[in-house]
Amino acid sequence: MSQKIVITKAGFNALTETDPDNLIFSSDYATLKYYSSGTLSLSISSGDNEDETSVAHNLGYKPFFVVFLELDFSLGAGDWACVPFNLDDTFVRSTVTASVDNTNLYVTAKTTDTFSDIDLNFRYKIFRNSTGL
Amino acid sequence: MIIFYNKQTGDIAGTIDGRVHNEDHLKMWVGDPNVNDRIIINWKPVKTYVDKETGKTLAQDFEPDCDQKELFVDFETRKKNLRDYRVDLKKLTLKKKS
Repeated sequence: MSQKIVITKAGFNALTETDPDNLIFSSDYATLKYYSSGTLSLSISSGDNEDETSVAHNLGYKPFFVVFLELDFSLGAGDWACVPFNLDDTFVRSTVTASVDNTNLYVTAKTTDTFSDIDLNFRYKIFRNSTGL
Repeated sequence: MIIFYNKQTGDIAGTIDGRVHNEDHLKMWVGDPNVNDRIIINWKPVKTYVDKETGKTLAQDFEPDCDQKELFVDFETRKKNLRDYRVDLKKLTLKKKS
């Protein structure tokens, strides 16, 4: 019999309960393992149409990650949007994307026109889990 | 917290969260190493709570191991926002953006 850790909700027996709805935690199910988190800033100069920043994670594989963009402009100050993020108007599309390789997490902002001076602020989370990609 | 800043302007390019940084975090870097440098702010134990019977450590209080410790506590409790600051390149401390 393999060893495992199971925590059930109140009223259920951790030794016998198998319904996931009645479990708080079970090592039978894979979880995301936190590696690192932090902030990124991207100061884009007026006239540019693309800029990028990066975090070197040096894990040697492509880790699972998430990136959030702070909406501190007309879309809603103080709110956060999950990247990728698109902003469209009639003639212009601006896009923020994030990607990883074996060494870095990249955050890239592009527009089909040119940016005005703008500071973009991000929060990132990198997990130890490999994407397997 | 590890703060990465532009060596020419002092503008903050990014951070790595945390109070005590292991080797994994110290290998990480934000942006181009030729453009950005870093300041590492570790937290240190300032008070230890010991079980009088066993002598075993029960808990410890920590504080930032730097001259601007109140500021870093305020960042963690979100009373202040790091985005409102840049690095003073002479003192290698944080100063509020004008």
